[in-house]
Amino acid sequence: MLVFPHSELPSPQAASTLQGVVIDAINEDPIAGVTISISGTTIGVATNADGSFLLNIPEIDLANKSLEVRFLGYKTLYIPFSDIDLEEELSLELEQDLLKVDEIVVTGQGINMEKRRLSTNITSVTEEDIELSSSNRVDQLLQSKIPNAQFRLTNGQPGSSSIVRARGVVSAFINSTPIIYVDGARVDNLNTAAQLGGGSSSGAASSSLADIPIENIERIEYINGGAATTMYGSDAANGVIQIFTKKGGDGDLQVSYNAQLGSTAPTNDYLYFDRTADLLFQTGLYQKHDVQVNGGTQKLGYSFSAGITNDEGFRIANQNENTKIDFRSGFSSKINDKTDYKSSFGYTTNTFRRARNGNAGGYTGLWYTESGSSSFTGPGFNPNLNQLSDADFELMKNYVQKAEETQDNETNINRFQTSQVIEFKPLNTLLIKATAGVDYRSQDEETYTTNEYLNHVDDLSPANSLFNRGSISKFNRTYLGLTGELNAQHKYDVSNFSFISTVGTQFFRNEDHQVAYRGIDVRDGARSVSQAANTESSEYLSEVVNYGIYFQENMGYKNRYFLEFGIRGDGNSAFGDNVGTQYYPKAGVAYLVSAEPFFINTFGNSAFSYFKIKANYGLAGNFPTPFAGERTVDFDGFLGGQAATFGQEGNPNLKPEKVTSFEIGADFGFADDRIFLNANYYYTETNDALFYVPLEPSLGTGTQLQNVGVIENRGFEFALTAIPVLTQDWNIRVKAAVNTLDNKVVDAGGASPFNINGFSARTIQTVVEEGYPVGYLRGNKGTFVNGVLDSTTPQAFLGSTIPDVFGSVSLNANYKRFVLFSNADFQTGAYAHSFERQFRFNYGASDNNEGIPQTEVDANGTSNWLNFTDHFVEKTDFFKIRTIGLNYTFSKSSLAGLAESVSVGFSVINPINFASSSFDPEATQSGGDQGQNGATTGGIAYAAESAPRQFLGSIKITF
Amino acid sequence: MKNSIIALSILVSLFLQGCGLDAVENPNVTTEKFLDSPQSATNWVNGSRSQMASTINVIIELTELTSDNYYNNRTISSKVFDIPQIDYTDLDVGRIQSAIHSLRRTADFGLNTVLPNDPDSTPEQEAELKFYLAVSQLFSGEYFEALPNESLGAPLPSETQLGLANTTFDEVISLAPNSDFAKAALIGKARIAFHLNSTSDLRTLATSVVNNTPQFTYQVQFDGINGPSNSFQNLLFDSSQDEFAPLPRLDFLDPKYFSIDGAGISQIPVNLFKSEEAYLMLAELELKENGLASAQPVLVDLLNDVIANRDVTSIDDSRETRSGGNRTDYPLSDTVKVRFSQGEPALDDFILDRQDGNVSIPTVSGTSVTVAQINNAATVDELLEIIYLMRQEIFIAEGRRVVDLGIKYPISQQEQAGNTNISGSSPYLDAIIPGFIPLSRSMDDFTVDETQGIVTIAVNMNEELVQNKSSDLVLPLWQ
Repeated sequence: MLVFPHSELPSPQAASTLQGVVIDAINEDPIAGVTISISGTTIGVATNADGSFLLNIPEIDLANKSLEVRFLGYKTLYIPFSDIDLEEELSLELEQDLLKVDEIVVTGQGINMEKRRLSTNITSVTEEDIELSSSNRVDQLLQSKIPNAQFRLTNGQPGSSSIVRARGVVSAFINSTPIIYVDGARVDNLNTAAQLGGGSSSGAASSSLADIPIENIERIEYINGGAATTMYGSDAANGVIQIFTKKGGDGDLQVSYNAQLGSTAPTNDYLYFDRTADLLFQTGLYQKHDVQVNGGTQKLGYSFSAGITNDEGFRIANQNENTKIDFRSGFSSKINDKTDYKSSFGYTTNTFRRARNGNAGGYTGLWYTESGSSSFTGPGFNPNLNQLSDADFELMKNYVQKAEETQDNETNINRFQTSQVIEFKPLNTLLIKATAGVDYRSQDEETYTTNEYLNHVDDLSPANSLFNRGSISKFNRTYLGLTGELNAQHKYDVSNFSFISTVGTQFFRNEDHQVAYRGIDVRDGARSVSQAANTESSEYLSEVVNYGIYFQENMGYKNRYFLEFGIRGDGNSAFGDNVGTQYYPKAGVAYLVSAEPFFINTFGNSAFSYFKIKANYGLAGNFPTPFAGERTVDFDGFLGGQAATFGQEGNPNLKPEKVTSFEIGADFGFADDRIFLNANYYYTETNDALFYVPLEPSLGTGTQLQNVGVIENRGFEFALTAIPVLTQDWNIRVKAAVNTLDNKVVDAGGASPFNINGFSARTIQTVVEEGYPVGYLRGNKGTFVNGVLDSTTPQAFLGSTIPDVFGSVSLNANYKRFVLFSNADFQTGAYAHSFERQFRFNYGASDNNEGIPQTEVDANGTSNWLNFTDHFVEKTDFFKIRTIGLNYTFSKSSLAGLAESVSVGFSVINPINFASSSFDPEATQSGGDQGQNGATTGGIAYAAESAPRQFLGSIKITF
Repeated sequence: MKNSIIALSILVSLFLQGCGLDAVENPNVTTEKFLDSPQSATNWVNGSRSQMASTINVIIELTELTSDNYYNNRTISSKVFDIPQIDYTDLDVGRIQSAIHSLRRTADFGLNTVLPNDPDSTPEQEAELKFYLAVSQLFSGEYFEALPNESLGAPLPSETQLGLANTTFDEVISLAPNSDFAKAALIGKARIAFHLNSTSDLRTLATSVVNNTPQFTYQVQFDGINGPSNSFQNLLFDSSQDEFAPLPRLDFLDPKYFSIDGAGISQIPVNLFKSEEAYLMLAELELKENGLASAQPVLVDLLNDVIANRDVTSIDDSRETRSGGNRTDYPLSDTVKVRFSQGEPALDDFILDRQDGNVSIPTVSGTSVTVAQINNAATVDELLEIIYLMRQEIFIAEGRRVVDLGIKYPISQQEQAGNTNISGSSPYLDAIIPGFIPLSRSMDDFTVDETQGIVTIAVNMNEELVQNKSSDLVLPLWQ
């Protein structure tokens, strides 16, 4: 509540000052960093560490103006100057903003905007949420924290890719990962493919989401496409994640040290054979240390952090060892009254190893143990591990131990990011902002396949051993992303109207350069390709430049009726020669009903405390593959000469696929905002969807990228936040989100059905076909008569890989100085195929023929194993608890001045899984995860590890 | 103020242009750039050779599976062609069709666009490209009931395609009469005469080959480093897994392709036109027209004058254990005897023991048939069966067997869906599989009598061919 001494009309002309202090309404602690400003102007100041402030008021007319008191996580106070006595010191109490309706957001708005003015949803993840998480990568950190999105790790090995999905699958051309900005700079999200077979060390893609520096994050904003992302134009149909880092601020120097120590254990829940864990897995040591320094003055704020993480991983012989070092610095400086400068620098080095898995070929651990390939790989064993005698199992263990130990590969990533921002306020009502950013990421992979390894896995006797099969494969991918943005925002209040106009221009440039080189016929011990008897190499280069210009207007009336509209125009070097500037319009309305006097009179302030309705329409796009528009000739060497052959078919009419989105929704607050419900219905239609269309064979070419498809997605989104208990000692907060999803390819534009991530047509594919959801499972469906296969329907629909319903739940319970936290997510309605089961049946490794009738096995052996693929498809409903943890913060008095604060905690990551399938619903066969450019919906489980289970103790000391 | 924003925007874009940051560099060569560059004809002709290698790779892999020669003992390739089950919806049908059309389009583009545009192009280059065009037409006629001869064109039946190929081969011969392409074209023309039952042409052409170029073979070359490599070599030998397994009575001819270096770099070429074929066709013609006594000397000459001179290589094939996974009862010891079918005698020397030192493998032509067998043949059918056994053995892993078996692939669904000349009810959408071909993978099937050490092949397909020689789908000379 606001407490102010008395009322007196201010002097409208004279320059003056206003002093005061801001405290928390519940615990009465002073709050530092609170922004105190004059409405409709850029005049403002922040509170000091003791909550005090001194605001210089120039000679302006304060008649229709208010004092705005704003701080993240608290309700904004608007106090008319008519109610303020400038002579008196103000004492202001801020109430926690349970709904965050007045939160200032940036993403999708060009510059700052209050959430209440928006017709779209923006989700923010706060520093507190981030600090409680023990995750070491940004996608895992966001799991269960974004109510309307799924973040699924496809593999438990380090650096693995994830499938991020929000409003369905809008594209069959590009993966569903949102674009990512750090402090306004666009960063690599691996939306350009690893074209050279590299980027797939040991058969699995490496995600650049795994090495975005996550130190020193202040806030993350997420928007999930549609009108919210229109201002990002040709690049944002899958949504935007924006990370804001700390820049320090006015206050005492604060140094904190944070350590985590624990273990990384395998998740054995889905193993068919218990003995697989004995053969392949270990429990590795996990440790993480980081130091953060924050501080500064009103003129200069600074923030530094450095962290190191070492995880031995859960594969034996430390084959999953991962070491990551992060540095981050942030500065904010007030150059003069009108100009602020902010910058951030981040550097990460990430090194990891991976065990061969999935489609690496030959011996691969999980295929060997779980899929039955031990029957013919190496010395050959009974593939049913349960039936192996102890002596045979010991022999197998020795074989596997050496096969794992002699694998030799390493991936090293070095990544540098910076963002430089200048904010200039030439007028009290105008803010101009210039942003420049760089993201440079270099990924080096080395794989040494030694003769020792090959001779061992092929079980060649010393006499038969070969020494000319060794190989060295190296791969380098460098990514350079440049972002430049210049925009301006003008705020104008007149009478009951407020106008916020934003105009801007944005430029980005991405370069993706990949080099793969390989030495064949290499003696063991050689570490350089130059020591190989034969070498080969390949190179790939992609460059794209995008120019965008945008304008948007947000109009408010009486601070409760809002209308917004805008447009962005984009030119992009990847568009075909015949395609010019592409436009993305948007429009929306928001109505804060609960601010109406009649509403307040009817419901008071408590029972039905908040009600907002909103609707919007907007477009966003995905630009086509760079250079795909041009018809080219390929050159290769062939028998010592240059060989020219047809390259890509080219298409001068290539343009971005455009996602049109319609959305209506409402926010409800009950019981004094203790219960908050957000409900939306959305419909999106992707027009000109880009398909790699397989051309008719008589054209004598392969595929051509064409804008031919139409894909629709629709669904309801519900997000509930409830605070059942809120007292001096207790604060219990529960969140739950449920989303429905209905996806369909409405029109394939005459394109034949095509496979996006499966295998060959006779096994299992994830297919795009008119009338079906994107990436549905297609394969052979068997009909049995009297327990024997009677007929097979080829290329049958075997289920959708996209869930009908998904969501998350979380609990945060604070009791005095304890915090118990947990989160989980779930899905229903999706299906996936287990190639492991199919192989187990084929190789006779299963105890029960994987459910295939014995009569079929008696009649045909396993020869029909590919003719009833439907028997290996299962429903993949799951409920997975991602984190459970407990933190305790010591009271300052108990620390006897030795430290400012100390907190200790314990958490378990991935502690409990429930799934309807016999395999991990999220683990996706390597190659099928893609994670890079190619659209994927997952859905094929094969020789992929589940994300590990971690037990972590932590301590944080702040001085 | 908006003016200053516009001014700043202009400044920024000038800066970006100054730094070259607004431009992108296409690392690829556009078709227009290529056509304007020197030596485009040379490069395109070499690219056509590479396309020839890619095309033959697809054809051999998929047709050898369809025939009784090879069985897919792992998962990597078609699982249904072994049955044989051939549906026009099967993507592998489209793969074969695409492989042939890619060769045709490559040759067409070279002949119509690249060569006329390059002042340095030569008649030899034109002859070579015509040769690839003729091969694509020959393949269209041999493997398919009907195929378009141009992009989205009307399907032309097999006989028409063979006629086109014949004409194109004639152009090859007239453009470069002394080249290897002309020699190969002669064998190609003989083959077409054989398929079309043009006996006098066949006699003239085959006799010419036997008399003038008895040792000739035209080989498709591969590049083990840059690719395309011989993909059948990978399946038979280089792959660490045992992918394809030959019918046990063909075991002694496997692996026809292998790498001497063991690392998959050295490549064995594929014989596309070799003089053996002229001998075999001539012998069959003699048998048909003049009886046993006229045919036998031709076959004996083939053994003594040609096959005896072909390369045989001693290789270490100890990694081959036929343990692909689907069937693990393939014979591995040279003590195992083979019956060609139930009731036939158990014969030695068909199975190699690959663990007992090096094995000798013919890389061009090999056969189990001896002079004595030929001379002892007492009936026309007996010798005819020997001829078809020789054809099977000599042409193994060359993609020829499926043609002898009378199997023809349908036009693929992808083509039908986008080609207005082909209706959904076109008869060309059903494969042709002669009625005497046993289904359920019986062509690749065998039984093993472990106690006696005898492998018995389920069906002797050469015997079946002879018994069905009057069928209009096989043995064209006997119609």
